[in-house]
Amino acid sequence: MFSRSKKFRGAAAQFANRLLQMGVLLFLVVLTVFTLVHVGGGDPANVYLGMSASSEQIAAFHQQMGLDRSLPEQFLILLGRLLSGDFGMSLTYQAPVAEVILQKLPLTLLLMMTGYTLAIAIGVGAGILGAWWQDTPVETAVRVISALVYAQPEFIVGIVILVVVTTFIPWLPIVGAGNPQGGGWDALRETMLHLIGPAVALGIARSAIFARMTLEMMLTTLNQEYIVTHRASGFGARRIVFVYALRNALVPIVTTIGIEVRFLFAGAVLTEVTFSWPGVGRLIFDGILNRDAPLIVGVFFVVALLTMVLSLLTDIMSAMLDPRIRLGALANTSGGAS
Amino acid sequence: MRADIRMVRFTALFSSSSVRVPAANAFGISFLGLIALMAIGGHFMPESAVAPDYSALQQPPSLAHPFGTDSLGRDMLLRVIDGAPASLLVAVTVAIVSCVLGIAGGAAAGYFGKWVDIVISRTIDYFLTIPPFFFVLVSVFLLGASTFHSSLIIGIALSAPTARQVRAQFLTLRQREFVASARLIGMSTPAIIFFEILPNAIQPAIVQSVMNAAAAVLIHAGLGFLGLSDPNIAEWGAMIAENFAHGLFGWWSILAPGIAVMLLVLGLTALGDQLNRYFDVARRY
Repeated sequence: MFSRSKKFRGAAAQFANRLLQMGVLLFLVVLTVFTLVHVGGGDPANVYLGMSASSEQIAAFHQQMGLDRSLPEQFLILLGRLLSGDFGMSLTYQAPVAEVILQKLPLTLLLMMTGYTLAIAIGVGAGILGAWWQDTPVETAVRVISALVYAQPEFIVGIVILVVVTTFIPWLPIVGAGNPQGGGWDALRETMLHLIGPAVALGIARSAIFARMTLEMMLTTLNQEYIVTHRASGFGARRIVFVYALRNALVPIVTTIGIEVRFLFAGAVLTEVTFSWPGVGRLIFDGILNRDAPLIVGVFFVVALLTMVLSLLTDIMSAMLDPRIRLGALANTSGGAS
Repeated sequence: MRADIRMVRFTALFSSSSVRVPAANAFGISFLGLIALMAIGGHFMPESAVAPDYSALQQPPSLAHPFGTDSLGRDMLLRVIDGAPASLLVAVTVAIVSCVLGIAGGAAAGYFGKWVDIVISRTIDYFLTIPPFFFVLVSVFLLGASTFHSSLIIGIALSAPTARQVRAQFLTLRQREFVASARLIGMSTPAIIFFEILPNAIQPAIVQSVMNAAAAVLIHAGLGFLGLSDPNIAEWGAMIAENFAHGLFGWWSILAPGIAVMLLVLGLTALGDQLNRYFDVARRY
């Protein structure tokens, strides 16, 4: 009884520790935004009021936004504003940035989740294929294709899918997301049909790393002595590959997901631009075209925040899957690769 | 049984049996030679070579234009050669910046410890947690999109893994006897760091820097695709975006820069893998 409560307290302390770490990181994110805006952003008054504004108007604007205070004060103001979800007004959309992002975020999350589920399915599937037909052209094909896909920026795979679909499956809608605001079953069906193209593109583009992980891990396991013993004692090859080898491959795959979390949004955003999927990616694209600084900064803040939350969730998940991994220690394993 | 993620991600991209790997890597590294030749050619290419030719718009690949022409009639092969210096510059700059920054930060944190370590370690954690693409995107957007600027920023964003590695090496190496004896014979601290510890810790940092260069090429192409590359110079990602915007009827004008990005990234991963093998003394003997 005692040991159990102690264990629980240990887990709770680790969790609190992670939350504290997240607080520090969040502070650093705000510091980044503050520094970047001050070094390179120019005077926001020029952006908001236009070049024709009088000096009184500019002074009034500075006072209203707190830009006439000292730098530390300005930093605290920015910290308070960003933490309360006030990212300023978007110049492109003439609406609060937070509102615009919240409106577009669900579509990005939908694409991201579907795309990465597909990526894991495709990657693990290809890895199993390669391990099943070890030392045959199939294994070579899995290796070569995953190397090629790995060396591509997301949008290349997207463009290939776009060309293939428009050429061979012309009835499948592939640009945009239908009209999700319309509501009802027809709108949902419409959006889901539009989702197929970008989700498959994202799935293929990000599957390379999972294919390599699965293949590598399964081959390592299959060549180990206890598997050879199993095989010698008459266990079927199917059982060995799917039960023993695959189970061992699963833990590093979860770890890989934890590392990939940092690249989730980047992949989704580039795919969105290719397919005109109206999510955060399109938003960034519009923001860059229109030099909309509050929008870009807001997107960075939201994406950084969501990435931290997701990485905490995957850490908890790997800790549950593999008791050897402790929650606190995982902060150091997330993100060995760039 | 937990595999080193980085190993699986970046090494042995071509083959599992270790006999064939050096040959496969040599093949991969030869792509780098090709890109370097293209970059030299692109650097000295006269501007007139990629001038619009309105008599040859959107032409599919042919003998005269092996990769076709774009919507302004420019030869795609020449345009890709024109874009090579930018990407190679990014790769080299990012490798150098992330290596120097990573070694400096990691060495300071690992050798001096205490508050230096706390500050640097938190910074490393920060850069290992935030999405690098978005950090680079917002920085380049606010600070300006010249190629050199973006390479510096990408280099900063990617220096964290190097710094963490070097820090770990320094933490263990500074306890070793040869460091104690160097201190005993009166070597200065910088001399100990640079001449005693660093030579033992630098190899993984070099491998990581080459891998960073590969990642940087992809990030830079993504920036170009979103419209954040230097507007005054040719860049592969921007080329893809531009031709993509002109419709899908000229797929060849997307193919050429796509292949170029791929060759450069594959070449860098192969170089990193081969360096890793070369440095891995345990495996060599």
